[in-house]
Amino acid sequence: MVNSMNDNRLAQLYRDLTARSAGPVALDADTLVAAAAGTLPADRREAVAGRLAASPSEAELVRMLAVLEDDSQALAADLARYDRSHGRRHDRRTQRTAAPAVRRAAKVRWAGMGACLMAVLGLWSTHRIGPGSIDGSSSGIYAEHKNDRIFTTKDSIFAWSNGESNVADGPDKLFRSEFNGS
Amino acid sequence: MPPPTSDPIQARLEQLLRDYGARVRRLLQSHGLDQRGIDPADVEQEVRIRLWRAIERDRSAAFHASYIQRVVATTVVDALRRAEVRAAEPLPDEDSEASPLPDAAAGPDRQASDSERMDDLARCLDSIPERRRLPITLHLQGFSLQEIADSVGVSAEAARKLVSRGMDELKSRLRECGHGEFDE
Repeated sequence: MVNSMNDNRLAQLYRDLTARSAGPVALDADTLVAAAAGTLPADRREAVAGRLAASPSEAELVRMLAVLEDDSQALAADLARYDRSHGRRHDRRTQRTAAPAVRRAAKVRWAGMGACLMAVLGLWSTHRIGPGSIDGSSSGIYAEHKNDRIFTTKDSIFAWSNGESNVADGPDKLFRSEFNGS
Repeated sequence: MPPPTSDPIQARLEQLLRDYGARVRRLLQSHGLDQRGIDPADVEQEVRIRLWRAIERDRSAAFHASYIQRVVATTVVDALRRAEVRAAEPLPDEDSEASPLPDAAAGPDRQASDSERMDDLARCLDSIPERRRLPITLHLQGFSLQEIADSVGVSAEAARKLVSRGMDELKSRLRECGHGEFDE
């Protein structure tokens, strides 16, 4: 090191000078980490170095990050181990809770298949006893198709049209024999 | 932070983050960043919380060292920026009880002398060509020869020569300004 005692005094004076004029933190976290790891792209190195030379807080932070790198790597490795341990525990727990659920699902599946089979059989049997399915003739359970005669003009009771009865005028044939004695 | 847990793996994770946070706090103090208006305990706590949240957010993610470094850097930068904002805020009124006392160790004579030296140092540095000035200022800022070599893009031996000759030149100029005591 060059003339260390005087360098220390000069360095302190220089840091006081730059602390007075550095202004706010200008470098972002990625740049600071890259500077600490020595992985800055060549075209940015000088600009970043210039900023670090002018800002004691950013320079200290970069140096601190360089020292912290080993600890960060150790923590990253520990976290990876934690993740594996946690993952194994998680898998075992999932298997334990999954077994009854799988059995329940199988029961539901079989019940569903049985219900489907019953439905198919029901439809098939219904179709078999339907019209013309046995001997080609209509079954007695089906009503014969006939025209409605209640409110048609063939209705002899209410069949009036424009005040005129369609029923031919004539003697009452129903009670005639009882009243006239014939 | 989560409440204390009886799960040994969870407890181990908490211990890892506690140890790492404590290491960050110690480094902040040893690098003098606690002199820049930030509280190392606050930064330690914030680093632990941010890492914890990141782990909780994505348990399957692989946390690389560079990611952890970025979390620390971001937290410290945020703290430094907050400290700068606080420093820029107006001082309290004279009648308020929180008026800061002047530094007893730094008398007016010494403060004036330091200010004059700083101005002369700035002038002397400005008079040195840029190519030689950067290695000197990095050296004065505390970077090692290897770090300077990496920053400037030269070999460590070239960086040593640049720093050595640059410091000689700086001292020579300071002597011309009447600061011969730097050379004692």
